[in-house]
Amino acid sequence: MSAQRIRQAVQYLSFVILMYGGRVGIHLGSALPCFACPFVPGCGGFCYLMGLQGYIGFGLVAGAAAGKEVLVALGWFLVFVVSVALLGKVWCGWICPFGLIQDWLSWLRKKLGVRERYLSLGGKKAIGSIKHIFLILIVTLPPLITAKILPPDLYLPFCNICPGKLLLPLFAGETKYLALNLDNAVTLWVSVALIAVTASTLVAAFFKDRFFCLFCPLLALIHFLRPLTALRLVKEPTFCVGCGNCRRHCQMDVRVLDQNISQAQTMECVDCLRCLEACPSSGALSLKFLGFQLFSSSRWATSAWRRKP
Amino acid sequence: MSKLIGALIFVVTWELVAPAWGDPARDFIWWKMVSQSQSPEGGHLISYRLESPGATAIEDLEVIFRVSPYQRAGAARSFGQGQYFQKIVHPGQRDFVFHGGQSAKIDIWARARRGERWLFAQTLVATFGQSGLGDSESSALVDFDWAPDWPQWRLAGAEMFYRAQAGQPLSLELSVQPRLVQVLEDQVTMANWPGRELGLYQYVSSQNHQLAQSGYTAQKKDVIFLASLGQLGEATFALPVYRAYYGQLDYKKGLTVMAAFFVGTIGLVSFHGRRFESQ
Repeated sequence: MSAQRIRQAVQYLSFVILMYGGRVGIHLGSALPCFACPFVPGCGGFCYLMGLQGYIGFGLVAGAAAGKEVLVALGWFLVFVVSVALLGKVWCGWICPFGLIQDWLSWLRKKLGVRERYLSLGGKKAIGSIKHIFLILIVTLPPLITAKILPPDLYLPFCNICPGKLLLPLFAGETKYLALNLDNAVTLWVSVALIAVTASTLVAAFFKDRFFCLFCPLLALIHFLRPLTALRLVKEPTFCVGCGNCRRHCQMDVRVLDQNISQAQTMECVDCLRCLEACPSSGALSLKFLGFQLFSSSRWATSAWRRKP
Repeated sequence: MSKLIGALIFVVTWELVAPAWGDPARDFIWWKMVSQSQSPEGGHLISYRLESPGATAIEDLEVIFRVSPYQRAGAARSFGQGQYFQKIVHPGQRDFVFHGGQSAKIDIWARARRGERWLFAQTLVATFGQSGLGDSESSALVDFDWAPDWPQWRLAGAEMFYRAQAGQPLSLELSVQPRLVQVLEDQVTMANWPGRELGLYQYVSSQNHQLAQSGYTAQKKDVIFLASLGQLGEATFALPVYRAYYGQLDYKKGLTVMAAFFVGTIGLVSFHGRRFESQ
Protein backbone atom coordinates (compact mmCIF):
# COMPACT_ATOMS: atom_id res chain seq x y z
CA MET A 1 0.00 0.00 0.00
CA SER A 2 1.41 3.38 -0.95
CA ALA A 3 2.25 6.06 1.56
CA GLN A 4 -0.45 8.28 0.08
CA ARG A 5 -3.14 5.70 0.66
CA ILE A 6 -2.04 5.25 4.24
CA ARG A 7 -1.88 9.00 4.64
CA GLN A 8 -5.41 9.43 3.31
CA ALA A 9 -6.71 6.78 5.66
CA VAL A 10 -5.03 8.48 8.59
CA GLN A 11 -6.41 11.84 7.50
CA TYR A 12 -9.98 10.59 7.39
CA LEU A 13 -9.67 8.71 10.66
CA SER A 14 -8.18 11.77 12.34
CA PHE A 15 -10.93 13.95 10.94
CA VAL A 16 -13.60 11.73 12.41
CA ILE A 17 -11.89 11.49 15.80
CA LEU A 18 -11.07 15.18 16.10
CA MET A 19 -14.44 16.36 14.86
CA TYR A 20 -16.76 13.89 16.55
CA GLY A 21 -14.69 12.07 19.17
CA GLY A 22 -16.09 14.10 22.05
CA ARG A 23 -19.52 12.62 21.38
CA VAL A 24 -18.22 9.19 22.29
CA GLY A 25 -16.03 10.30 25.14
CA ILE A 26 -12.78 10.73 23.25
CA HIS A 27 -10.80 13.83 24.14
CA LEU A 28 -7.16 14.08 23.23
CA GLY A 29 -6.42 17.10 25.35
CA SER A 30 -5.89 20.81 24.88
CA ALA A 31 -2.45 20.80 23.33
CA LEU A 32 -2.93 19.26 19.91
CA PRO A 33 -0.49 20.57 17.28
CA CYS A 34 -3.20 20.76 14.63
CA PHE A 35 -6.44 22.64 13.99
CA ALA A 36 -8.72 20.60 16.21
CA CYS A 37 -11.23 23.35 16.77
CA PRO A 38 -12.73 23.74 20.26
CA PHE A 39 -15.71 25.53 18.71
CA VAL A 40 -16.85 22.27 17.16
CA PRO A 41 -19.54 20.79 19.40
CA GLY A 42 -18.43 17.36 20.50
CA CYS A 43 -14.89 17.67 19.20
CA GLY A 44 -12.21 15.21 20.17
CA GLY A 45 -9.56 17.65 21.34
CA PHE A 46 -8.44 21.26 21.31
CA CYS A 47 -5.89 23.03 19.21
CA TYR A 48 -2.93 24.27 21.24
CA LEU A 49 -3.29 27.81 19.96
CA MET A 50 -6.51 28.25 21.88
CA GLY A 51 -4.89 27.13 25.08
CA LEU A 52 -1.81 29.25 24.40
CA GLN A 53 -3.91 32.39 24.12
CA GLY A 54 -5.85 31.50 27.22
CA TYR A 55 -2.81 30.69 29.34
CA ILE A 56 -0.92 33.79 28.28
CA GLY A 57 -3.89 36.06 28.69
CA PHE A 58 -5.61 34.71 31.71
CA GLY A 59 -3.32 32.28 33.32
CA LEU A 60 -0.22 34.38 33.58
CA VAL A 61 -2.05 37.62 34.30
CA ALA A 62 -4.44 36.12 36.82
CA GLY A 63 -2.84 37.72 39.79
CA ALA A 64 -3.36 35.67 42.88
CA ALA A 65 -4.11 32.52 40.95
CA ALA A 66 -1.04 32.89 38.72
CA GLY A 67 0.98 30.29 40.55
CA LYS A 68 -1.32 27.42 39.75
CA GLU A 69 -2.10 28.68 36.25
CA VAL A 70 1.59 28.88 35.35
CA LEU A 71 1.97 25.21 36.23
CA VAL A 72 -1.06 24.30 34.15
CA ALA A 73 0.28 26.31 31.22
CA LEU A 74 3.69 24.68 31.51
CA GLY A 75 2.09 21.27 31.72
CA TRP A 76 0.18 21.74 28.50
CA PHE A 77 3.23 23.20 26.82
CA LEU A 78 5.16 20.06 27.69
CA VAL A 79 2.38 17.92 26.27
CA PHE A 80 2.56 20.00 23.08
CA VAL A 81 6.33 19.59 22.88
CA VAL A 82 6.11 15.84 23.37
CA SER A 83 3.38 15.57 20.73
CA VAL A 84 5.51 17.50 18.26
CA ALA A 85 8.61 15.55 19.19
CA LEU A 86 6.86 12.28 18.43
CA LEU A 87 5.15 13.08 15.16
CA GLY A 88 6.60 16.37 13.94
CA LYS A 89 5.05 17.66 10.74
CA VAL A 90 2.88 14.55 10.41
CA TRP A 91 0.43 16.56 12.50
CA CYS A 92 0.16 18.94 9.57
CA GLY A 93 0.17 16.62 6.62
CA TRP A 94 -1.61 13.59 8.03
CA ILE A 95 -3.80 14.67 10.93
CA CYS A 96 -4.90 18.31 10.69
CA PRO A 97 -8.61 18.53 9.77
CA PHE A 98 -8.22 21.89 8.09
CA GLY A 99 -5.41 20.45 6.01
CA LEU A 100 -7.79 17.74 4.83
CA ILE A 101 -10.34 20.35 3.81
CA GLN A 102 -7.66 22.10 1.77
CA ASP A 103 -6.75 18.78 0.15
CA TRP A 104 -10.42 18.38 -0.81
CA LEU A 105 -10.32 21.77 -2.48
CA SER A 106 -7.18 20.77 -4.37
CA TRP A 107 -8.88 17.58 -5.53
CA LEU A 108 -11.85 19.62 -6.70
CA ARG A 109 -9.59 21.97 -8.60
CA LYS A 110 -7.96 19.06 -10.41
CA LYS A 111 -11.32 17.54 -11.22
CA LEU A 112 -12.46 20.81 -12.73
CA GLY A 113 -9.26 21.05 -14.73
CA VAL A 114 -8.24 24.39 -13.25
CA ARG A 115 -4.58 25.24 -13.34
CA GLU A 116 -2.81 25.45 -10.00
CA ARG A 117 -1.13 28.76 -9.19
CA TYR A 118 2.46 28.66 -8.03
CA LEU A 119 3.69 31.54 -5.96
CA SER A 120 6.95 33.31 -6.67
CA LEU A 121 9.67 33.31 -4.06
CA GLY A 122 8.82 36.86 -3.12
CA GLY A 123 5.14 36.04 -2.92
CA LYS A 124 5.77 33.04 -0.71
CA LYS A 125 7.99 35.06 1.59
CA ALA A 126 5.44 37.83 1.87
CA ILE A 127 2.65 35.43 2.67
CA GLY A 128 4.86 33.38 4.97
CA SER A 129 5.62 36.40 7.10
CA ILE A 130 1.97 36.48 8.13
CA LYS A 131 2.53 33.53 10.45
CA HIS A 132 5.09 35.48 12.43
CA ILE A 133 2.60 38.31 12.76
CA PHE A 134 0.02 35.81 13.98
CA LEU A 135 2.39 34.47 16.60
CA ILE A 136 3.20 37.95 17.85
CA LEU A 137 -0.49 38.77 18.13
CA ILE A 138 -1.21 35.48 19.88
CA VAL A 139 1.35 36.34 22.52
CA THR A 140 0.72 40.07 22.95
CA LEU A 141 -3.02 40.55 22.66
CA PRO A 142 -4.40 38.26 25.39
CA PRO A 143 -2.70 40.08 28.28
CA LEU A 144 -4.05 43.37 26.94
CA ILE A 145 -7.53 41.90 26.89
CA THR A 146 -7.17 40.56 30.41
CA ALA A 147 -5.96 43.96 31.57
CA LYS A 148 -9.06 45.53 29.96
CA ILE A 149 -6.98 47.65 27.62
CA LEU A 150 -8.67 45.86 24.75
CA PRO A 151 -12.34 44.86 24.69
CA PRO A 152 -13.23 41.46 26.15
CA ASP A 153 -15.00 40.56 22.93
CA LEU A 154 -11.55 40.10 21.41
CA TYR A 155 -10.92 37.14 23.71
CA LEU A 156 -8.96 34.44 21.83
CA PRO A 157 -7.89 36.90 19.14
CA PHE A 158 -6.44 34.36 16.71
CA CYS A 159 -9.49 32.12 17.00
CA ASN A 160 -11.60 35.12 16.03
CA ILE A 161 -10.07 35.13 12.56
CA CYS A 162 -9.12 31.49 12.14
CA PRO A 163 -10.91 29.92 9.15
CA GLY A 164 -11.13 26.70 11.11
CA LYS A 165 -13.54 28.34 13.54
CA LEU A 166 -16.04 28.98 10.79
CA LEU A 167 -15.50 25.89 8.64
CA LEU A 168 -14.99 23.02 11.02
CA PRO A 169 -18.12 23.59 13.13
CA LEU A 170 -20.14 23.37 9.92
CA PHE A 171 -19.33 19.67 9.82
CA ALA A 172 -20.92 19.32 13.24
CA GLY A 173 -24.00 21.31 12.35
CA GLU A 174 -22.93 24.57 13.95
CA THR A 175 -23.62 27.44 11.57
CA LYS A 176 -23.58 30.50 13.81
CA TYR A 177 -20.15 31.66 12.71
CA LEU A 178 -21.54 32.25 9.22
CA ALA A 179 -23.56 35.12 10.64
CA LEU A 180 -22.61 38.66 11.48
CA ASN A 181 -22.74 39.20 15.24
CA LEU A 182 -24.58 42.45 15.81
CA ASP A 183 -24.26 42.62 19.58
CA ASN A 184 -21.83 45.51 19.49
CA ALA A 185 -19.25 47.11 17.24
CA VAL A 186 -16.42 44.82 18.30
CA THR A 187 -18.31 41.58 17.76
CA LEU A 188 -19.59 42.92 14.47
CA TRP A 189 -16.18 43.65 13.02
CA VAL A 190 -14.69 40.49 14.45
CA SER A 191 -17.35 38.45 12.69
CA VAL A 192 -16.76 40.37 9.46
CA ALA A 193 -13.03 39.67 9.74
CA LEU A 194 -13.64 35.97 10.35
CA ILE A 195 -15.92 35.63 7.35
CA ALA A 196 -13.60 37.65 5.14
CA VAL A 197 -10.49 35.66 6.07
CA THR A 198 -12.33 32.36 5.66
CA ALA A 199 -13.76 33.23 2.26
CA SER A 200 -10.42 34.48 0.95
CA THR A 201 -8.55 31.47 2.34
CA LEU A 202 -10.99 29.02 0.78
CA VAL A 203 -10.65 30.59 -2.64
CA ALA A 204 -6.88 30.81 -2.35
CA ALA A 205 -6.69 27.19 -1.16
CA PHE A 206 -8.68 26.18 -4.23
CA PHE A 207 -6.08 27.72 -6.53
CA LYS A 208 -3.00 26.86 -4.48
CA ASP A 209 -2.43 23.59 -2.64
CA ARG A 210 -2.48 24.01 1.13
CA PHE A 211 -2.51 27.80 0.89
CA PHE A 212 -3.23 28.36 4.58
CA CYS A 213 -0.28 26.21 5.60
CA LEU A 214 2.01 28.84 4.08
CA PHE A 215 1.19 31.12 6.99
CA CYS A 216 -0.10 28.74 9.60
CA PRO A 217 1.26 29.72 13.04
CA LEU A 218 1.07 26.12 14.26
CA LEU A 219 3.31 24.98 11.43
CA ALA A 220 5.78 27.65 12.51
CA LEU A 221 5.68 26.46 16.11
CA ILE A 222 6.19 22.86 15.03
CA HIS A 223 9.09 23.88 12.83
CA PHE A 224 10.74 25.72 15.73
CA LEU A 225 10.74 22.44 17.62
CA ARG A 226 12.25 20.64 14.64
CA PRO A 227 15.50 19.66 16.43
CA LEU A 228 13.43 17.58 18.85
CA THR A 229 11.35 15.68 16.34
CA ALA A 230 11.83 11.96 16.06
CA LEU A 231 10.07 11.72 12.69
CA ARG A 232 12.10 13.25 9.88
CA LEU A 233 12.08 13.42 6.13
CA VAL A 234 15.65 12.73 5.12
CA LYS A 235 17.29 13.15 1.75
CA GLU A 236 20.35 11.22 0.66
CA PRO A 237 21.95 13.57 -1.89
CA THR A 238 24.19 10.90 -3.35
CA PHE A 239 21.16 8.94 -4.58
CA CYS A 240 19.44 12.01 -6.05
CA VAL A 241 19.43 12.01 -9.88
CA GLY A 242 18.20 15.60 -10.14
CA CYS A 243 15.02 14.81 -12.04
CA GLY A 244 12.98 17.42 -10.14
CA ASN A 245 9.99 15.10 -9.71
CA CYS A 246 9.95 15.81 -5.98
CA ARG A 247 9.59 19.51 -6.46
CA ARG A 248 6.95 19.16 -9.14
CA HIS A 249 4.79 17.00 -6.90
CA CYS A 250 5.39 18.95 -3.70
CA GLN A 251 2.17 20.44 -2.32
CA MET A 252 4.03 23.21 -0.61
CA ASP A 253 6.40 23.90 -3.52
CA VAL A 254 9.50 23.37 -1.43
CA ARG A 255 12.20 24.46 -3.82
CA VAL A 256 15.22 22.99 -2.11
CA LEU A 257 14.02 19.46 -2.61
CA ASP A 258 15.80 18.99 -5.91
CA GLN A 259 19.00 20.59 -4.68
CA ASN A 260 22.01 18.71 -3.51
CA ILE A 261 21.41 19.01 0.23
CA SER A 262 20.20 16.64 2.90
CA GLN A 263 17.78 19.09 4.48
CA ALA A 264 14.40 18.25 2.97
CA GLN A 265 12.13 19.35 5.77
CA THR A 266 12.00 23.10 5.37
CA MET A 267 9.57 25.40 7.15
CA GLU A 268 6.85 24.81 4.55
CA CYS A 269 7.09 21.04 4.47
CA VAL A 270 4.05 19.24 5.83
CA ASP A 271 5.38 15.70 5.43
CA CYS A 272 2.80 14.80 2.81
CA LEU A 273 5.40 12.42 1.28
CA ARG A 274 4.39 13.18 -2.28
CA CYS A 275 8.04 13.87 -3.03
CA LEU A 276 8.98 10.48 -1.66
CA GLU A 277 6.45 8.68 -3.80
CA ALA A 278 7.39 10.68 -6.88
CA CYS A 279 11.10 10.07 -6.50
CA PRO A 280 12.41 7.45 -8.97
CA SER A 281 15.66 6.85 -7.13
CA SER A 282 15.70 4.22 -4.40
CA GLY A 283 16.68 5.58 -1.02
CA ALA A 284 16.99 9.21 -2.11
CA LEU A 285 14.14 10.29 0.16
CA SER A 286 12.98 8.47 3.24
CA LEU A 287 10.83 9.06 6.30
CA LYS A 288 12.60 7.94 9.44
CA PHE A 289 11.56 7.64 13.05
CA LEU A 290 14.60 7.84 15.31
CA GLY A 291 16.67 6.55 12.43
CA PHE A 292 14.31 3.67 11.69
CA GLN A 293 13.07 3.85 8.11
CA LEU A 294 9.30 3.90 7.68
CA PHE A 295 8.94 4.89 4.04
CA SER A 296 11.48 5.26 1.30
CA SER A 297 11.52 6.24 -2.34
CA SER A 298 11.87 3.36 -4.73
CA ARG A 299 12.57 3.04 -8.42
CA TRP A 300 10.22 0.07 -8.53
CA ALA A 301 7.15 1.84 -7.13
CA THR A 302 4.39 2.42 -9.67
CA SER A 303 2.50 5.06 -7.76
CA ALA A 304 0.16 7.22 -9.83
CA TRP A 305 1.78 10.24 -8.21
CA ARG A 306 4.77 9.75 -10.37
CA ARG A 307 2.89 9.99 -13.63
CA LYS A 308 1.78 13.54 -13.35
CA PRO A 309 1.65 16.15 -10.64
CA MET B 1 -9.31 45.95 -11.82
CA SER B 2 -8.03 44.94 -8.39
CA LYS B 3 -8.82 48.42 -7.10
CA LEU B 4 -12.32 48.09 -8.46
CA ILE B 5 -12.77 44.73 -6.84
CA GLY B 6 -11.38 46.01 -3.57
CA ALA B 7 -13.69 48.99 -3.67
CA LEU B 8 -16.63 46.74 -4.44
CA ILE B 9 -15.88 44.53 -1.47
CA PHE B 10 -15.48 47.55 0.77
CA VAL B 11 -18.73 49.15 -0.36
CA VAL B 12 -20.74 45.95 -0.04
CA THR B 13 -19.35 45.24 3.40
CA TRP B 14 -19.84 48.80 4.57
CA GLU B 15 -23.40 48.95 3.31
CA LEU B 16 -24.19 45.78 5.15
CA VAL B 17 -22.35 46.59 8.31
CA ALA B 18 -22.78 50.34 8.80
CA PRO B 19 -26.53 50.34 9.52
CA ALA B 20 -25.94 47.83 12.29
CA TRP B 21 -23.09 49.76 13.85
CA GLY B 22 -23.30 49.41 17.57
CA ASP B 23 -22.14 51.55 20.36
CA PRO B 24 -18.35 51.62 20.06
CA ALA B 25 -17.93 52.12 23.80
CA ARG B 26 -16.88 49.12 25.76
CA ASP B 27 -20.07 48.22 27.54
CA PHE B 28 -19.06 46.28 30.54
CA ILE B 29 -18.67 46.94 34.21
CA TRP B 30 -16.27 45.49 36.68
CA TRP B 31 -15.46 45.32 40.34
CA LYS B 32 -12.58 47.19 41.85
CA MET B 33 -11.45 46.63 45.39
CA VAL B 34 -11.18 49.86 47.35
CA SER B 35 -10.05 48.76 50.76
CA GLN B 36 -9.94 45.95 53.22
CA SER B 37 -9.94 46.40 56.96
CA GLN B 38 -10.88 44.78 60.22
CA SER B 39 -14.36 45.21 61.45
CA PRO B 40 -14.87 46.55 64.97
CA GLU B 41 -17.49 43.82 65.40
CA GLY B 42 -15.05 41.12 64.40
CA GLY B 43 -14.23 39.74 61.00
CA HIS B 44 -13.19 41.78 58.03
CA LEU B 45 -14.65 44.43 55.83
CA ILE B 46 -13.95 44.65 52.13
CA SER B 47 -15.25 47.54 50.09
CA TYR B 48 -15.71 47.28 46.36
CA ARG B 49 -16.72 49.77 43.78
CA LEU B 50 -18.48 49.02 40.56
CA GLU B 51 -16.76 50.75 37.68
CA SER B 52 -17.52 51.23 34.04
CA PRO B 53 -15.70 53.19 31.35
CA GLY B 54 -17.10 56.64 30.68
CA ALA B 55 -20.43 55.63 32.14
CA THR B 56 -23.32 57.94 32.57
CA ALA B 57 -26.06 56.91 34.91
CA ILE B 58 -26.65 53.27 35.44
CA GLU B 59 -30.34 53.03 35.89
CA ASP B 60 -30.81 49.76 37.65
CA LEU B 61 -28.16 47.86 39.41
CA GLU B 62 -28.73 44.33 40.53
CA VAL B 63 -26.12 42.74 42.68
CA ILE B 64 -26.24 39.14 43.70
CA PHE B 65 -24.17 37.66 46.44
CA ARG B 66 -23.49 34.11 47.29
CA VAL B 67 -21.40 32.64 50.01
CA SER B 68 -19.12 30.00 48.66
CA PRO B 69 -19.69 26.86 50.66
CA TYR B 70 -16.39 25.32 49.79
CA GLN B 71 -14.04 27.14 52.04
CA ARG B 72 -15.17 26.38 55.52
CA ALA B 73 -16.25 23.07 56.91
CA GLY B 74 -18.72 24.83 59.13
CA ALA B 75 -20.45 26.51 56.24
CA ALA B 76 -23.12 23.86 55.97
CA ARG B 77 -23.80 23.88 59.68
CA SER B 78 -23.83 27.61 60.09
CA PHE B 79 -25.65 28.20 56.90
CA GLY B 80 -28.97 29.61 57.79
CA GLN B 81 -31.43 32.28 57.11
CA GLY B 82 -30.16 35.42 55.54
CA GLN B 83 -26.92 34.13 54.22
CA TYR B 84 -27.88 34.14 50.59
CA PHE B 85 -29.94 36.74 48.97
CA GLN B 86 -30.35 38.98 46.01
CA LYS B 87 -30.32 42.67 46.42
CA ILE B 88 -31.45 45.47 44.17
CA VAL B 89 -30.06 48.84 45.04
CA HIS B 90 -31.00 52.33 44.18
CA PRO B 91 -29.74 53.85 40.99
CA GLY B 92 -26.33 55.33 41.26
CA GLN B 93 -25.06 53.20 44.11
CA ARG B 94 -21.66 51.86 43.20
CA ASP B 95 -19.95 51.22 46.49
CA PHE B 96 -20.52 48.13 48.56
CA VAL B 97 -19.08 46.97 51.82
CA PHE B 98 -18.97 43.31 52.68
CA HIS B 99 -18.40 41.86 56.10
CA GLY B 100 -17.15 38.38 56.60
CA GLY B 101 -15.17 36.06 58.76
CA GLN B 102 -11.66 34.82 58.19
CA SER B 103 -11.20 32.95 54.93
CA ALA B 104 -14.84 33.20 53.97
CA LYS B 105 -15.35 33.56 50.30
CA ILE B 106 -18.19 35.25 48.56
CA ASP B 107 -19.25 35.29 44.94
CA ILE B 108 -20.55 38.62 43.79
CA TRP B 109 -22.22 39.05 40.49
CA ALA B 110 -23.74 42.24 39.23
CA ARG B 111 -25.61 43.48 36.27
CA ALA B 112 -26.66 46.99 35.47
CA ARG B 113 -29.11 48.45 33.04
CA ARG B 114 -28.36 51.45 30.93
CA GLY B 115 -31.24 52.38 28.66
CA GLU B 116 -32.20 49.23 26.90
CA ARG B 117 -28.94 47.46 27.48
CA TRP B 118 -27.85 45.27 30.30
CA LEU B 119 -24.24 45.26 31.32
CA PHE B 120 -22.67 42.44 33.24
CA ALA B 121 -19.83 42.65 35.66
CA GLN B 122 -17.39 39.87 35.99
CA THR B 123 -18.09 37.45 38.70
CA LEU B 124 -16.02 38.43 41.65
CA VAL B 125 -14.75 36.06 44.26
CA ALA B 126 -13.74 37.94 47.36
CA THR B 127 -11.84 36.25 50.14
CA PHE B 128 -11.80 37.81 53.54
CA GLY B 129 -8.70 38.05 55.64
CA GLN B 130 -6.23 37.28 52.93
CA SER B 131 -4.18 40.40 53.43
CA GLY B 132 -3.02 39.10 56.75
CA LEU B 133 -5.14 41.28 58.95
CA GLY B 134 -5.33 38.65 61.56
CA ASP B 135 -7.74 35.89 62.28
CA SER B 136 -10.77 37.15 64.06
CA GLU B 137 -13.26 34.39 64.57
CA SER B 138 -16.76 35.14 63.55
CA SER B 139 -19.69 32.83 63.32
CA ALA B 140 -21.38 34.94 60.70
CA LEU B 141 -20.02 34.25 57.29
CA VAL B 142 -21.48 37.23 55.57
CA ASP B 143 -23.59 39.95 57.00
CA PHE B 144 -25.57 42.35 54.81
CA ASP B 145 -28.48 44.66 54.94
CA TRP B 146 -31.18 43.27 52.81
CA ALA B 147 -34.01 45.03 51.17
CA PRO B 148 -37.37 44.46 52.87
CA ASP B 149 -39.12 44.16 49.52
CA TRP B 150 -37.63 40.70 49.14
CA PRO B 151 -39.69 38.63 51.55
CA GLN B 152 -38.28 35.33 50.45
CA TRP B 153 -34.84 34.12 51.21
CA ARG B 154 -33.13 33.61 47.95
CA LEU B 155 -30.28 31.44 46.98
CA ALA B 156 -28.86 33.56 44.26
CA GLY B 157 -26.37 32.90 41.58
CA ALA B 158 -26.35 32.98 37.84
CA GLU B 159 -24.28 30.02 36.87
CA MET B 160 -24.31 30.29 33.18
CA PHE B 161 -25.01 32.65 30.36
CA TYR B 162 -25.74 30.89 27.17
CA ARG B 163 -25.86 32.29 23.72
CA ALA B 164 -28.48 30.48 21.72
CA GLN B 165 -30.29 30.80 18.45
CA ALA B 166 -33.97 31.60 18.22
CA GLY B 167 -35.95 28.43 17.77
CA GLN B 168 -33.19 26.20 19.07
CA PRO B 169 -34.08 24.06 22.05
CA LEU B 170 -32.06 24.80 25.13
CA SER B 171 -30.86 22.22 27.58
CA LEU B 172 -30.23 23.76 30.89
CA GLU B 173 -28.56 22.47 33.99
CA LEU B 174 -29.23 23.53 37.48
CA SER B 175 -26.22 23.17 39.72
CA VAL B 176 -26.53 23.68 43.43
CA GLN B 177 -24.65 22.30 46.35
CA PRO B 178 -26.83 19.37 47.37
CA ARG B 179 -25.72 19.54 50.97
CA LEU B 180 -27.23 22.92 51.34
CA VAL B 181 -30.39 22.97 49.35
CA GLN B 182 -32.97 20.40 48.54
CA VAL B 183 -34.81 21.24 45.38
CA LEU B 184 -38.54 20.91 45.77
CA GLU B 185 -39.82 21.80 42.37
CA ASP B 186 -38.84 23.52 39.17
CA GLN B 187 -40.67 26.45 37.84
CA VAL B 188 -39.97 28.10 34.53
CA THR B 189 -40.80 31.74 34.15
CA MET B 190 -40.41 33.69 30.97
CA ALA B 191 -39.60 37.32 30.85
CA ASN B 192 -39.02 39.56 27.88
CA TRP B 193 -36.02 41.78 28.29
CA PRO B 194 -35.83 44.57 25.77
CA GLY B 195 -32.73 45.36 23.89
CA ARG B 196 -29.55 43.41 23.49
CA GLU B 197 -27.57 41.85 26.23
CA LEU B 198 -23.86 41.75 26.72
CA GLY B 199 -21.84 39.25 28.56
CA LEU B 200 -19.82 36.47 27.08
CA TYR B 201 -18.50 34.59 30.03
CA GLN B 202 -19.68 31.16 30.89
CA TYR B 203 -19.19 29.43 34.16
CA VAL B 204 -20.07 25.88 34.96
CA SER B 205 -19.21 24.50 38.30
CA SER B 206 -17.99 20.98 37.97
CA GLN B 207 -18.08 20.41 41.69
CA ASN B 208 -21.78 20.76 42.01
CA HIS B 209 -24.21 18.01 41.61
CA GLN B 210 -26.56 18.21 38.69
CA LEU B 211 -30.01 18.41 40.12
CA ALA B 212 -32.30 19.35 37.31
CA GLN B 213 -32.36 19.61 33.61
CA SER B 214 -35.00 21.09 31.40
CA GLY B 215 -35.46 22.12 27.84
CA TYR B 216 -37.26 25.00 26.26
CA THR B 217 -37.58 26.22 22.72
CA ALA B 218 -37.45 29.97 22.91
CA GLN B 219 -38.41 32.70 20.52
CA LYS B 220 -36.28 35.50 19.28
CA LYS B 221 -35.24 38.00 21.95
CA ASP B 222 -36.79 35.96 24.73
CA VAL B 223 -34.91 35.57 27.91
CA ILE B 224 -35.62 32.58 30.03
CA PHE B 225 -35.63 33.09 33.71
CA LEU B 226 -35.45 29.86 35.61
CA ALA B 227 -36.52 29.66 39.18
CA SER B 228 -36.55 26.63 41.37
CA LEU B 229 -37.55 26.28 44.93
CA GLY B 230 -35.30 24.80 47.50
CA GLN B 231 -35.48 24.25 51.18
CA LEU B 232 -33.01 24.02 53.96
CA GLY B 233 -34.57 23.31 57.28
CA GLU B 234 -37.50 25.64 57.60
CA ALA B 235 -36.21 28.23 55.19
CA THR B 236 -37.52 28.24 51.64
CA PHE B 237 -35.44 29.48 48.78
CA ALA B 238 -36.21 30.71 45.33
CA LEU B 239 -33.27 30.28 43.05
CA PRO B 240 -32.78 32.25 39.88
CA VAL B 241 -30.09 30.19 38.25
CA TYR B 242 -30.22 30.63 34.56
CA ARG B 243 -30.69 33.35 32.09
CA ALA B 244 -30.51 32.81 28.34
CA TYR B 245 -30.40 35.59 25.88
CA TYR B 246 -30.32 35.52 22.17
CA GLY B 247 -27.48 37.08 20.35
CA GLN B 248 -28.24 39.19 17.37
CA LEU B 249 -26.97 37.09 14.51
CA ASP B 250 -27.67 38.05 10.96
CA TYR B 251 -27.09 35.18 8.59
CA LYS B 252 -28.13 37.00 5.45
CA LYS B 253 -25.55 39.70 5.94
CA GLY B 254 -22.91 37.19 6.95
CA LEU B 255 -23.42 35.12 3.83
CA THR B 256 -23.46 38.25 1.69
CA VAL B 257 -20.12 39.34 3.12
CA MET B 258 -18.79 35.86 2.47
CA ALA B 259 -20.03 35.91 -1.11
CA ALA B 260 -18.48 39.34 -1.64
CA PHE B 261 -15.09 38.12 -0.49
CA PHE B 262 -15.41 34.92 -2.51
CA VAL B 263 -16.05 36.87 -5.68
CA GLY B 264 -13.44 39.45 -4.84
CA THR B 265 -10.73 36.91 -4.18
CA ILE B 266 -11.57 34.93 -7.32
CA GLY B 267 -11.36 38.15 -9.26
CA LEU B 268 -8.02 39.05 -7.71
CA VAL B 269 -6.54 35.65 -8.44
CA SER B 270 -7.89 35.59 -11.97
CA PHE B 271 -6.88 39.07 -13.01
CA HIS B 272 -3.79 39.70 -10.94
CA GLY B 273 -2.67 36.28 -9.80
CA ARG B 274 0.10 36.16 -12.41
CA ARG B 275 1.84 39.05 -10.71
CA PHE B 276 2.57 36.79 -7.72
CA GLU B 277 3.28 33.66 -9.68
CA SER B 278 6.66 32.22 -10.42
CA GLN B 279 7.67 32.11 -14.04
